[in-house]
Amino acid sequence: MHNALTPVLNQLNKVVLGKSHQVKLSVACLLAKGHLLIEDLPGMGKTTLGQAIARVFGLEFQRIQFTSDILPADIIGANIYDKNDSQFKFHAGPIFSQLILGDEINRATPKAQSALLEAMEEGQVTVEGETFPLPDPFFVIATQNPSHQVGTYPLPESQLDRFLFRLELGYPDPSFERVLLKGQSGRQNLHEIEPLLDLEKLAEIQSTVTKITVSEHLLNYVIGLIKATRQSPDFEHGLSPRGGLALIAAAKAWAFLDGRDYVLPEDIQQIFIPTAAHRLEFSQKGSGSVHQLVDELLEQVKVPS
Amino acid sequence: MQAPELNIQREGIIPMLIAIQAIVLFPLWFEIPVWITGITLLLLATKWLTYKFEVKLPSWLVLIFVFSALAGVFLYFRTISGRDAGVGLICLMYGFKLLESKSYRDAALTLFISFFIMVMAFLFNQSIAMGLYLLVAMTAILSGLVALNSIQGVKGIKHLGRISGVALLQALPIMLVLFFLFPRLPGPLWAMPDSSQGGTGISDSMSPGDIGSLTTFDDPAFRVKFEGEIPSASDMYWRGMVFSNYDGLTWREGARSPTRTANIPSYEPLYSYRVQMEPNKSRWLFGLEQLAESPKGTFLFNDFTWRRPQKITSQFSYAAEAVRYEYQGVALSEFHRRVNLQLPATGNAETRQWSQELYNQSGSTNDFIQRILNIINQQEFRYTLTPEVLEDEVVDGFWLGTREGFCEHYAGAFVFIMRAAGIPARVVTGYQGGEYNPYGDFYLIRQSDAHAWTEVWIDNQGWVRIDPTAAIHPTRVEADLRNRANRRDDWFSDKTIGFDLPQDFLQKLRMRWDAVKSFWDDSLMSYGQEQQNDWLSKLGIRSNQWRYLGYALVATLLLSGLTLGFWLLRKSSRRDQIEKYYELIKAKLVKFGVEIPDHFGPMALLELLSAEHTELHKKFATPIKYYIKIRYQTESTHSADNEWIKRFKAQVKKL
Repeated sequence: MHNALTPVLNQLNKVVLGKSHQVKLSVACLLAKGHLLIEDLPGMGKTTLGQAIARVFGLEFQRIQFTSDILPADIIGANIYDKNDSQFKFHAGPIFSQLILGDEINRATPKAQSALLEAMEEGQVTVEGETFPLPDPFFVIATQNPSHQVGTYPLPESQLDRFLFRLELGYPDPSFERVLLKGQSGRQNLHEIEPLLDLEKLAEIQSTVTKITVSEHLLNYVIGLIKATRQSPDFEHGLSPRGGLALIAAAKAWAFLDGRDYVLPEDIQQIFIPTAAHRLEFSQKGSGSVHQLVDELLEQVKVPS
Repeated sequence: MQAPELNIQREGIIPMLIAIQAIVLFPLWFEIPVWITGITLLLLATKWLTYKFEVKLPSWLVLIFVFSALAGVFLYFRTISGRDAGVGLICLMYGFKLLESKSYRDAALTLFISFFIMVMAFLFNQSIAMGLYLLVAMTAILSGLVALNSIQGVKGIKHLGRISGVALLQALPIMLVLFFLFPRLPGPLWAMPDSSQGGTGISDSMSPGDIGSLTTFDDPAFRVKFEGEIPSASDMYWRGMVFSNYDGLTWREGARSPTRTANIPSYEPLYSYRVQMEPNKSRWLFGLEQLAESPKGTFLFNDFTWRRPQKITSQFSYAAEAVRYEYQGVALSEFHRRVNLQLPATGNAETRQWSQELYNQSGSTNDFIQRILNIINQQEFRYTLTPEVLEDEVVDGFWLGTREGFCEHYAGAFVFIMRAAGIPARVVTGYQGGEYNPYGDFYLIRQSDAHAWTEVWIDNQGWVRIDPTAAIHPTRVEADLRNRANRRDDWFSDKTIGFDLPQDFLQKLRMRWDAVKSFWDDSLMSYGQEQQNDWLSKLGIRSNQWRYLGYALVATLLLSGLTLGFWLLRKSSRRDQIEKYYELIKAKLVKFGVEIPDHFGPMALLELLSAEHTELHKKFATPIKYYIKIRYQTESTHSADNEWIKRFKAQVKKL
């Protein structure tokens, strides 16, 4: 079944040049029914990736540009008085869409942020006591600028936890940079993307992913990793049980993309940084970036024989 | 520590505890006083209501109830110890404990107490039915424990029953070992000394009507299994007590003392047998005449009766031998002669005179006895269980008047006549006959087989058994008594009247059931010190060597522990072996100069080999792939295909 995804990955790689690992992670995130947070500087192709995923999976797409004055109603929608009917009517906001691209989410105030994040958590929206279910699938790709930039409201840890992955796209390789600079950007390919999957197929794949074998022996390794995060002096606190569940779910999706029906320690290692890094908090003693620390941690934990 | 999900407020837990308590108390409700039964029922109902309507009883109120119940028990029994008061008190406290239960710990405690309280029912009734009921109760309690400790709680009675059934089966070997080897005190553990119930059985004195009231009871008195030769049922006189003291109305035991073996005449053994006695709350044992060496822990008295220091309050079994004494040249001691000639100074003058006249006409003691037996046989002496009641001059009234009665009238009168003529004689009571059970190969002696006969001292013949009742002509025996007497073979010896009981289906069924019951009582319930010693001596362990018993117990427990441990180890060692073999692969690769970081999984290792060490990859790829199959492609290594494990090991060995 994973064959169906090979053309998907190919298409995406044509649009987002030289970022095949990040592309694969993004697809894995969607298969694991998780939400994706892309953190990087402006102009790195975050939005392009989001749009490409929406098109290739044939998902309804809405983009919400977060600004410092955006209000919850701008995202969710509001009851507006209808003159003809003489009554209030709910006008759905942009959130009622299968794929949301929340651009620069950390530029909005916490109030607006939580409107989105609550919808992500609960799969439904409540306006003035009336509940409206969100579409299924509901997949959020949010982007944010590095939090040290001016005019940002960093997301608190509790809300970062709602994203399965946090990715950094990073600068492109010099070879791809050259292609970009020549003006042959992937953006042009964006419009040529045809939907390669439908919703039914996506749901089928998602349910197959949940059935992938996770052996007792693999759990030994995962438990070892989680324990290491909790005991390491580099982090204020370790991974929560929800973090552990996220690891398993993500590793299953990754194994599926690799064409296996069982999870290997290598799968865990591949998804460990995007899954764990944003859930771990620096302690004062830590030095270096979170990525470095998590990488070190991965190297320290032995894969049981 | 239990998980928070295991709390008692979960759905179904409290109704389950109530149900289990009801099951456990059910057999006790018929034994404890009615008011305690009522209160325990009330407590169960209260618990249910407080659960249903989610009310909480104030703890001071519960406390008041507890103390008033305690006071009630004390006022009713005048004590709080002993079986009946103790059981009543425990039942009440059990009810209160459930009422105030509000945590997991309370629930677990009530369930564990249930095991103890369940067994209390055995103090009152040790029947097979009770055994089966307790088995059910035990399964229920176990199921309760399972439900309390599982996340699913009370769901799927079948599932819970299966788990506890399996647990019970697993405990079976340990149970058997403990049952057979745990050092026993003399007598079963549930013998309780202060039962208020009276026992049935013959009494320690004989006044008119005593045995008559017994002969209507069909309850078993004891069972007998013979080894080797078996006497005919008409010869089975089961000697119990000897009465030599007569006050004109009641026969009592005379002066008697434990005898020394040196004082008994020589004898030869006739039959050996084993008796399984029902509890009768008395001290005397029954043996086939004549009695000699007393069973272990009992005493032979100088009137040839056996006696036990403790009352028989539970199943009691003993082995014994019937003997024939050699009285040639043995004289009756002056003391015994005096004792066995004793008569009240006055009363029954007519019979005294009658006796002396008849004796004077007779040529010898034997002739005298024969004449009397002939009189009983030929004249209008009747055997009935409902004779006319005589107030005084009992012997005169019977022998020369009504001439109707049953064994004790005849035995009493006969001894009186003998003594009046100056011949030492005494009354013997016990049982006569027995019903053979072909399924269990034993004789059942019932209370209705109770009997009284006599012994007369004849020089050079010693104590001779004379049964005057047997001399009655069969036509003068009440019809239903004849039927009953039929069990004693041809007791009223006249072949013309046959009383063959129909060997119908019900009869056989009854006998089969009795055989099962005999096994239950004989082999299980009364498995005490003696039987344990017997059993152990068959294994070569001598009796009373408790130390060996202890060793055997410890050894058995150790052995079973080791077996279990070995089995568990073997299971986990299979997993460890895979680890060992994989480490072997890695060690070999290191030898070939491959550096393997700790955090490399098998797939990373494969990729490393294929990228940098193509030769090694060819060699090592297959075992590593098997390793992946075993470790990661199946849920757990235990469920991995044995074939894979074999191939993996073979591949590694080839390297």
